Amino acid sequence: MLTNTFLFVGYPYLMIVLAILVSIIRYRYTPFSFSSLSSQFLENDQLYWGSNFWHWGIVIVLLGHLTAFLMPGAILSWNANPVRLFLLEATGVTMGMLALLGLVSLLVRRLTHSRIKVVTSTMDVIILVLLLVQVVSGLDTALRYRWGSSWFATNAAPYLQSLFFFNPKPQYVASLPLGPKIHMLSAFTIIGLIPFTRLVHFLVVPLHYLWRTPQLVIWNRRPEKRFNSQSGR
Amino acid sequence: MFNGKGRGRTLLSLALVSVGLVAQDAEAQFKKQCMSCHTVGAGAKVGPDLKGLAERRTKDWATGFMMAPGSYLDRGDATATELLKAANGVKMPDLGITAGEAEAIWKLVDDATKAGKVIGSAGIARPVTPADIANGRLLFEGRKHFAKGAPACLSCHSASSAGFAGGGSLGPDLTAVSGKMGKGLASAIETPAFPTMQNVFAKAPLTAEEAFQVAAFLGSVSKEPPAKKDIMLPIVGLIGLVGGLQISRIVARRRFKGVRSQLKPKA
Repeated sequence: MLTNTFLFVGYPYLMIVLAILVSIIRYRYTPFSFSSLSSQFLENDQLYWGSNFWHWGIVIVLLGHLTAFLMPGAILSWNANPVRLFLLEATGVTMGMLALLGLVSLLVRRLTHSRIKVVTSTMDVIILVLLLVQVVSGLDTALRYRWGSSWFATNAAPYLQSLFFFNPKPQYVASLPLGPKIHMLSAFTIIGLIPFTRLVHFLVVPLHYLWRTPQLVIWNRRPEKRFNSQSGR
Repeated sequence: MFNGKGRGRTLLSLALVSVGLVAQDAEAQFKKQCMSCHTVGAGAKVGPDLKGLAERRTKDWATGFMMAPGSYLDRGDATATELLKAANGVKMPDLGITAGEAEAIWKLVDDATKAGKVIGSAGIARPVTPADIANGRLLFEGRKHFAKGAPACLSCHSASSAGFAGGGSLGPDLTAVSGKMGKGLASAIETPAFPTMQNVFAKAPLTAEEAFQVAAFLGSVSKEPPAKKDIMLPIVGLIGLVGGLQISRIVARRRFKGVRSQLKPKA
């Protein structure tokens, strides 16, 4: 009981406070370090596939978690029909697998590509491994402890909401199996490590690009023409 | 007002009020955590009728068992093993009852026994109709909502062929549960006291009628083979993944690959 109180009350609060405080400090002192420190310039081919798979997969999975956290009732209503429930779960599993594929490819790239190795820090490897734990434990939960979308809404959502209302109720998750518990704990760890890693980039996602006035890039000549004439064909 | 005698009276009345409150708490707790399987004086359900508990067990044994039934079974306690047999192998869950609460429940049971008071009821006792079974299946699968908003059983449980691509697997398969729990099943699911369920269902209990119908459905499948391990989810997931990869290959054809590769003379 005491362990559960620490792991599911003390630990998440500790990690959230750490994330907020250190993010503020880092932004005040080194604002230009808020970036993913792109290595696209050093290697672009593997990055294109890895990064796209990873981001599409993980963003959709995260949006699913966010929806279930904010509107658990809506998820349960959707799941009232077993076919719809299955479609939701299958979408989640597909996106989880896509994220896993992208993540593994990014991890391999980071550990094997000679140019990328030069710009890789310990924290980069730590956060990638943690994300791997997160995605694998999430897929394991989805496949072994079905139907996660429903019991997230009944057990995990009230627990997470209770944390936000400063009235923690760890009893909602205390009796869950080890797999889902690892998933939650590694999530809290990742949140705590956000300001110490490249993950800070998601705090400064340039969402305003979506509605700012478009910037036109004007080329002197039409690119196709130029390349064709210069390559001497 | 605050002379010695007056203060004494105030304290006494406060003490009486708090004793009353403890008794009320114990009864509320009994209803929430014990009544799904036990009654006092209304007959056995999943577990034994607790009437006359003090005549059968010592206080130490009973309160200790309430707090951690699992540990009694683990160390092979003779009485606990016998009780488990009598309950068809249905283990009493560890409910996180504290020493103080266990003592209050012991007192509640003892007081009720002495006063001839009945706590709980043996549940609905009418014969099961086909309509009950059909309704129970709809409730189990979630196609029909529980009146007080409880989540569908299928979220975490499977039962024979219920659901599309099977039931949940966070909780146990309930195909054969009716044979194990017998008549007590309906009341066990009315306010389930199992650790993962009790917080969820304390807020949204089933009505006696709904519990009866779900139990009727589970009774109707109890002779069927247990739910198959369904592998449709990972398979459909993989199909989705392969489809996604194909789409991304098509999208990537129009990808801007930089100018350098095109400028380099081809070897």
